[in-house]
Amino acid sequence: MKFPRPLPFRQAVTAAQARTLLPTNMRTAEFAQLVADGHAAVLERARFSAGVRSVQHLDVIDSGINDLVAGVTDLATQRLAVKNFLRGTGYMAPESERGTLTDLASDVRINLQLSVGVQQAQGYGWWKQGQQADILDAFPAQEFLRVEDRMVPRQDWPQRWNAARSATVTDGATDSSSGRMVALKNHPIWVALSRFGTPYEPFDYNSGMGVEDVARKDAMNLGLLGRDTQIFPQDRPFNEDLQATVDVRADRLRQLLQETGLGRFDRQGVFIYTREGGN
Amino acid sequence: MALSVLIEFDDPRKYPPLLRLSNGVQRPDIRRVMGRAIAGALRRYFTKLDRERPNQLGGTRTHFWGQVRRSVQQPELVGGDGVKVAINHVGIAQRYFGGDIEASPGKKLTIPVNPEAYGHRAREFTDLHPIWFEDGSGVLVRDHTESPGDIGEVFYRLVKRVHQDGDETVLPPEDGKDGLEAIALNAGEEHLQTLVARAA
Repeated sequence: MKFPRPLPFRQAVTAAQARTLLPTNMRTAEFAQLVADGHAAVLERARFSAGVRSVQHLDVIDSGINDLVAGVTDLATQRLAVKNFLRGTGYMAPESERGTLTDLASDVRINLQLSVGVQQAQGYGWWKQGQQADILDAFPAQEFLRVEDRMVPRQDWPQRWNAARSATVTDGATDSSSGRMVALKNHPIWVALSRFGTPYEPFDYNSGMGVEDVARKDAMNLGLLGRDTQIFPQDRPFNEDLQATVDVRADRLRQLLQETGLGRFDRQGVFIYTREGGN
Repeated sequence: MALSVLIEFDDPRKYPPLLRLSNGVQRPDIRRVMGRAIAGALRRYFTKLDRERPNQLGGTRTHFWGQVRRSVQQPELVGGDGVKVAINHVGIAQRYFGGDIEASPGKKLTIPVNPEAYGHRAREFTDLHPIWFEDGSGVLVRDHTESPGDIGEVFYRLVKRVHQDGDETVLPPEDGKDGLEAIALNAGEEHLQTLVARAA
């Protein structure tokens, strides 16, 4: 039986709405450095885009993402909303940049901003739902595979997989030379594999790669776990007593973290993420 | 508008042996697993559609079916033997049920007919202008500077209403050995076998 009915993707909606707007002049490489330094969790709680310093601009993007996740609008309509906002500000990219990723009004840039935000919320939602104890028991693993074709797909995913496996734990994850990239759902390989430092889709910009559940019997046949191995659910609560050690290599990054308003450094130099309006 | 798929496992004759003996379908933990299996099957099906059904106009792909895949949710348990899976994408219900779409009073629908127009709102373009026909329909065109006097390059048709046929193949079948019901029952049976073996 099929029927049309709008139903919120609760976990995805929560994930989208929980993000704090983060105006910044940081570039993509600096965000990547923050992830490499172990601060992915801070970025996971923020809505940002490289070089977007306007809160109002971020708010338009944020609203678009929230409405897309809620299933009440489409990408073209939200892209138009962003373009209309930028037209209203008189924004125009330098001629040499028009139509490129650095042009805030280009299709490619706006599509990326909206789609990554939506995919992160939906990826979190699927991951979170999969952490339910009975589901985790029946589907303790997931497979990393291509879910969308690309004209020029990245060829280095097997190497990246093996590098992440070697850098974390080899047990509980297959070697990519086996022909499959499968790991237990709460294996650290997922965070290590992800450009964004998160264990859920997307794992890189426009990658076309995703994850699908693997049943326990299949995971056992791959040697990842035994029949009685218990996998414990994980949680990634938003705005909940997050702390990050300050191994921020550049003073500039430290200053930017401070300026985000997402938290503060304590006397020991640990960055404490704070609830909005809290201590 | 989103679409929900409701499957009721109300025919014990279809159950695999352990589920039938134990009436395991009534157990919420087993049905959660069955529901997740349905959701996973839907996601895999939409991956297949994304590969097999790029937009017919060509141009830059929007990966509509990839978007639909990511909007599949964890099912709800319904009653004593049902599961309902929501697919929370704005365009899926229209694709499945079809129907007429009518423009608001005083307005027209814009139907893309140019690869560059696909996936774009007409108002994203700043260089199109309308040409109207006697029947009230029209087109949005971009002028051909190389051929002045030519109608121009047509991007959109402007119409009052459009009919879309429904397409049940945008969802996998529920019945049959590879249908959603069988996938769910097999997942429930397999999980119950594991639980029984552990308890033995």
